[in-house]
Amino acid sequence: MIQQQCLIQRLSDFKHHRRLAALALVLSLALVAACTDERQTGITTGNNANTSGAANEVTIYVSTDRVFSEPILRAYEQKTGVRVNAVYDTEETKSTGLANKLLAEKNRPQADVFWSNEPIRTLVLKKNVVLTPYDSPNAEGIPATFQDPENYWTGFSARSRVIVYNTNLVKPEDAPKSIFDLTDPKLKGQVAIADPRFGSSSFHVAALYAAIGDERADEFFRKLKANDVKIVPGNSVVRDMVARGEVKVGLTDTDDVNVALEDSQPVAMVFPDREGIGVPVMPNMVSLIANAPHPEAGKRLIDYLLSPEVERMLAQSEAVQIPLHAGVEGPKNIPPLASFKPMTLDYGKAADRLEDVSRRLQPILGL
Amino acid sequence: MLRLPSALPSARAITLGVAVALFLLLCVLPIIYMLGVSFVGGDGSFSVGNYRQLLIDARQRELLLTSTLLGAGTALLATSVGAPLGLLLARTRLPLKRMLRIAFIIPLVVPPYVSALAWILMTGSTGFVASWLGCDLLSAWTYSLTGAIIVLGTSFFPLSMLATEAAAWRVNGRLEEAGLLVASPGRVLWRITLPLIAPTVAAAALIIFVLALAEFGVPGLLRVRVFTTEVFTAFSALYDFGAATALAVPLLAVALIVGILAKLITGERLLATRRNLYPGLVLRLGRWRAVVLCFFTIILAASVILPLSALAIEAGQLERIIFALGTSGDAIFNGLYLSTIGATLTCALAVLLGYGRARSGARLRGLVDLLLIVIFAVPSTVVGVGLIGLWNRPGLLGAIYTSQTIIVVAYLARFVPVAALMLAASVRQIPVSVEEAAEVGGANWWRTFTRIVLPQMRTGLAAVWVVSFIFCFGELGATLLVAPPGESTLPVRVYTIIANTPPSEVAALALLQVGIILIPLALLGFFTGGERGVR
Amino acid sequence: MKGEAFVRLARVTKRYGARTVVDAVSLDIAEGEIVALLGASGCGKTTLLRLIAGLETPDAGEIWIAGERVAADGRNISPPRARGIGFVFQDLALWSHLTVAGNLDFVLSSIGIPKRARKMRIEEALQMGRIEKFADTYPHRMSGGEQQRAAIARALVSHPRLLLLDEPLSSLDADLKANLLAELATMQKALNGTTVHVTHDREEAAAFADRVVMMREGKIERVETVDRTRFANT
Repeated sequence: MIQQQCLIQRLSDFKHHRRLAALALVLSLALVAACTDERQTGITTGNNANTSGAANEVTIYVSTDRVFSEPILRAYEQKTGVRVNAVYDTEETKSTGLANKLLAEKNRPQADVFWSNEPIRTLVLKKNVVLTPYDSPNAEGIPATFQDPENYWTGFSARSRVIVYNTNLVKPEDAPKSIFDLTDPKLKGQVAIADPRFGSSSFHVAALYAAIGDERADEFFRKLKANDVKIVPGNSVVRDMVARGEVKVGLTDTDDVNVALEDSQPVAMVFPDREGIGVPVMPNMVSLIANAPHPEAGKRLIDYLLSPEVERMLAQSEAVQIPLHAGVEGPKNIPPLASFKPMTLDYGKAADRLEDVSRRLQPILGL
Repeated sequence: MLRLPSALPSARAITLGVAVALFLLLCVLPIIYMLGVSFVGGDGSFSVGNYRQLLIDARQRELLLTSTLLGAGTALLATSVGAPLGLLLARTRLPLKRMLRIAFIIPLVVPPYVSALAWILMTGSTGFVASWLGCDLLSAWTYSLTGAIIVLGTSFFPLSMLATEAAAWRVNGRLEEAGLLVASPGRVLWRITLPLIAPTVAAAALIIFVLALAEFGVPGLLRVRVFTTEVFTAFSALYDFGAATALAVPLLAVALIVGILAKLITGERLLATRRNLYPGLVLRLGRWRAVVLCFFTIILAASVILPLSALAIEAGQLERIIFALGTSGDAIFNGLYLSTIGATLTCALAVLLGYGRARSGARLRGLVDLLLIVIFAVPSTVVGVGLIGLWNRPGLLGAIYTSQTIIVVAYLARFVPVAALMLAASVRQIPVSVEEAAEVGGANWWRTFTRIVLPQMRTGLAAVWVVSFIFCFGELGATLLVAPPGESTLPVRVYTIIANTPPSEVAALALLQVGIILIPLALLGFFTGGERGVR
Repeated sequence: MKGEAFVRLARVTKRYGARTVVDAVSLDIAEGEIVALLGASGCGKTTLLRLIAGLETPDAGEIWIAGERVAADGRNISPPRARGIGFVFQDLALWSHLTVAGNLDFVLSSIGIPKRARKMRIEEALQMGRIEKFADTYPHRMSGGEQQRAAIARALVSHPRLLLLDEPLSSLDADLKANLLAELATMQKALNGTTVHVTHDREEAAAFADRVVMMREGKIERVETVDRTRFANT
């Protein structure tokens, strides 16, 4: 109080230096703000490694879109009373993602759990010894394809790469059924894909190279380039370009298309290559961080995320994710897992190709 | 009588020493750390492998050329718009000048990525222009290097404007009056005023060059391939910190070369100027008034009204914005108070560095300038990863790392160099004699500094504070990496939300972000934008 | 006093807000005459000088230079550049981005002297100020006294009809000042130039001027004619 009075005194001294007075005012506001923050951090410093004994909180890094993942984590807080400290990711092409944070923090991990929205990053982290095995009891019932034999990760609720098209410009019967249809000269300049070095797009191309071999894959991308493919930052940009009609078709993710459908945009999706090489299915993956500050709390959170209950919530949300547990009802408009052949059977093998494929594609696509 | 040299270091030496130490710790050390990482090979031993690959293929050289062109084009465009605006604001009688100044700062507040989105909404192949004309004339031009230059140029010109205006205020009015005694106002403007402020304008252009060079969001969206994406790819696709840092080195080299060129062109001019109450040269617009108003309208339309309207149309109903506002309370609060602290500390440290720089020898000063610009050119991701490596340790450092203080540390690491560069011109213009006079009069150095030196540079300081505040508030690259769990700043919230939301919500959030940062700026502008002098 | 006045001030008034800085001052200055305006700081002497130069606009009264009415009815009729004035500012106001020769050249090119003639005029002015060797030097590399000479050379290079000095020598020590003033007086007499010299130093005023005008609170308090013969030998 006295300090504030002093401040007021000082301020009136400065009357003829209004500029300085304003600066001082802002400064004092900052100080006040900093003081109020003191209380907040009093609580949040609990995420410090020193207090690992207190198991009533858990830290999770999430690359699944915040709009979908936040409600799931809030529900967990409500249910268990455990405080969930979450760090969310941005779309990969807009900033460097959380995987880098986890890698940089490797020597003194701050996170307990990593929830990834696609397989590649989890496998990169596994290779870099950021993860530790955990075999959750709730993994039972999830097909073996979506589980790491070494238990470093477990897949749940899957998305798929899909072909999105503009319903005003393309008739359903003319829509491409396979990604190889995208090289059709009829679609010259009318195809958009997200930068294949990032995010789920990078998974798709790595899986493709693993599935059909380097020569055929190179050939496919050369043809795609010759067809004047538009390479854009991010799957949401692909969807928006298709929705606006800037291009007729694009490659993106199920949840991206669904957001546009909910927004009544003129788009529809095709699950590509149901016949042939298979549909590029991408499970969410959850892993325990090695030397996590709260390993037990982390395991409980993983158990929760792998439960049929979470799969149901993700299926019914706008994320429209395909449940991997048998018996959980899937989202409307999305074919069930059993109805098609997934393209990838070994995610580790696909992920191993990531770096090599990225370098290969740069000259081919002129990136 | 001679005073005996004291055994203890002077207050000045201690203060400057602490400032330099902080600068090294906060800004330089993370970069050195990352450079160290880049020299470690796969087996953990010393290796130059990361550097052997640099620029050997034509593709990378072409990307670097595109990046350089993008930087140069943006700097040129921003300066040719911003410098005349700054001069007009400083030297003409105009109605609503305060409002105009704030309006012209808006483009700097809109994240460049969002500006690019707004331009695509307007001039993309299905944008407003195309649907209005019924045919697409502008999209080829939007998705091009030219388009990227226009988007970034209209985003960054306020920096040039603020720098020019502040420099124009600092010019000693007598110098212009001496010109007016023999020459017309136009000639005085071209031959006296402009050369005197040229170093400041060039410094601002250099900063804009570096900002454009560091940008990969806008070129990505407009499908222009730039070198900066390489650095980013090394992080985000290959997860190779060493390679990423090595890839940043060519960018730093470009910044260094352009910095040296700028120095050679403008030279080291000692501006024996001081701030007068009134400027010597007041431009009377006369029949040029209409031209100037036209210029203002075009700039305002192109950089503020059209993009914001495009976003507003896209955002649609107001309730979207209100909803976004309602759920972002903590993020807004965090963003505002962290940026306030960040900008204030940035300025405090930058003032001391700028002061030390101004009072050092010419050769050292030149080196310091180049060091500052090169540090500023270091990609934010490199800084962020470096900060994690340095601060995520047991004990006090770790306690800072796991609190929001680390975000302020990141702000300082990113923006102290640029603030010091911007302030350098203000400090340099305060004659040493002013301090000597105060010191001889018995005042101690600290008192002299706070009572004599700081008040003399308050215009420059205010401008730099505002710019630092805007930079801090919009910082994403490093913040995202270092922010502790829990609600972070508004841009982080916006970017973690927009990943999958429809463009309408992106537009609503972008408008919200612009609105939030404008409120304190407008208040500050009204408190501090007191019209000096144009009589 | 010779016939028609070269500079005529008629009830010249200047106000800043409510404060009247120059209060209905009338004064005639003959061609070739050196007049000192003497007074304490704040008495309005500098403002009066700036009014003559056209750097300030009078609120009332008339100013005539060489038979031409340059200011009247609360506005300047001729801009400063049309008044044929050389001005030495208190802080000298040398253009710091130009060399000494560059400073002089800007003046000459501004008043339309062709390039070849300029070179000669610059040399001549530098010689007069005895600063030839500083032609290609930037002002901040010169000593205080050298800068004063450069400023005076710049003011004289255009051969102004009227030289206005605003305490340009206030920072010099007494010896140097006396020397410079004596030189300046000789130069001005040789060119038959009219000079108005603002100072707060009575000695300096008396040493240099033909007439000393004492000002106080915006008004002329007293005018004294200096007996030049007394100083002829010093």
